[in-house]
Amino acid sequence: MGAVTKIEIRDVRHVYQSDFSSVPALASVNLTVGDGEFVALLGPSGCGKSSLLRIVAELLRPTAGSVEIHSSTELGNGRPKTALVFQEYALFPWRTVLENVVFSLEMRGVPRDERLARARKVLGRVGLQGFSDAYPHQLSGGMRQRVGIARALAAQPEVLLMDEPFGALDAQTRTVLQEELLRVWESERKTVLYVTHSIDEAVYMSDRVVLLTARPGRIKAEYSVELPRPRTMEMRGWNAYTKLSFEIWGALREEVETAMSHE
Amino acid sequence: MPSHATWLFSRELAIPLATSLILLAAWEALVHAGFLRAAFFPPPTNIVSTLLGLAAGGELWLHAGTTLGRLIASFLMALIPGTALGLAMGWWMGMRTAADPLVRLLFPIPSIAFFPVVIFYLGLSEWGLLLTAAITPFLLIAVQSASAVESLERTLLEAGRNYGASGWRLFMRVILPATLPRLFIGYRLALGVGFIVTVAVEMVAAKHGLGGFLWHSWQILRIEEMYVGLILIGFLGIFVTYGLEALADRLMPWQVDLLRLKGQR
Repeated sequence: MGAVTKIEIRDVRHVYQSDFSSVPALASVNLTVGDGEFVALLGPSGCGKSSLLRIVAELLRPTAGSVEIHSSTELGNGRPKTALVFQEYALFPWRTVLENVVFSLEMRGVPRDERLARARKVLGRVGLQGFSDAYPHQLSGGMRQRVGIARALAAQPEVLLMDEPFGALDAQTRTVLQEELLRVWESERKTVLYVTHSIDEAVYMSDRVVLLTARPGRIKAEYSVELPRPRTMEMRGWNAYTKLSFEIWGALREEVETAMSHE
Repeated sequence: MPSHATWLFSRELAIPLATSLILLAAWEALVHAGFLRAAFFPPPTNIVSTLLGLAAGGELWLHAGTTLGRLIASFLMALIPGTALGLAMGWWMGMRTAADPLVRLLFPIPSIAFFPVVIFYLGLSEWGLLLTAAITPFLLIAVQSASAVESLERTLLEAGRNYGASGWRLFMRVILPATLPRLFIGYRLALGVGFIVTVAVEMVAAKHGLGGFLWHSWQILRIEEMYVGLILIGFLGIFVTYGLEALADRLMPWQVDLLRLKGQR
């Protein structure tokens, strides 16, 4: 964990209220993420991990508790606190690839030349330089999510939030994009909060795996991943990797069973 | 997409053109052979020469222009408040609860049936005519716009917010473009209905305009002119439909290609 604290989640609870019922989604979550740390949030489906991410992104107001994101530099530098990468990409279909990537810079009033230059640079880094003028529907799922990642990186957020970003992709594309994301991340060391339900993905990508219980979610256990960086494919065959994966599965299994019995 | 030159000679154009010409030739032949009465079914060549005569006199353009102007005016009278009401109904539950029953009640009433009520208040004026032609299109657009907002993808809104858009800018840069394709479904339907009602009201209550021209030519039994009126109404319909499609393509360039991919174009 980095020495400087980046995200502080203090006693966050969330209850979904409707006219007829209230569903507790999160029961008191406390979590601190260090600057430059890659943290995976792992849990059974419906455990509230996506809700937690949306609370950090300020898209959802928690029923109780607070989230604080510490800026690396003085306030007023215009950098947004968070940028969210969605499972369903959530690209704006009426905007070309380049226009999608510049969206946040446009909203912040970054001058046109500067935002285009920055967007082109980011597009180059995710291997999309030739596709600036394509519309999202013209791209494959994997390429769309590259645009989603480029849009998030171009915003230069304090924290990168990812909500099962490769969950909708086929296994091969997912593996390729995991490696690409790791390469980009290892060169930037941005703070990442990464929601997934795949143990393999959590261990392969992150510095620390935070395991949530079945709904209402709270933190059940944390595992620090002691694999060296840069991570490589071969590490998936390492003893430490498999051992940790099995250990996590042991703890996750109960929660999955609880979650299933509630359905 | 083929170039213009090849398109002109393509089957898409050649086949419908050939069928039309064959039908017209058959009509012409049947009249000359005495199987169709020229008094009711004047031969197409007569209709065309009447049309050319009227077109040269300029009267026809006045009628066509009047109808087109009324159609555009009533369409805008339906589009602007209809979209605003529909978007508000889709966005705010309270607005929907308040307006929905009234919209549902008025919607099935044929627009032309409002004419007596409207002229009771506005008299037999141009405004009365425009308002009558605007009522059902207005309701149609409101209903369709409300459902456009309801089917808005939640994640697009989240992306807009997370990437720095809020308030008016969220509306202009995210909500409006995201709902536009579905808004246009309402606009297309509304234009069709508006066209029917405009011509119908003209037949009842206007001297000018193609509806008035058509009605008048029937009353004085100028049958060729009656057919000319029909033909022009048809062409005007094609013209405005095409105009709206061209506008849609211009406003939503990403949709042009999307529809072609889905095989709808």
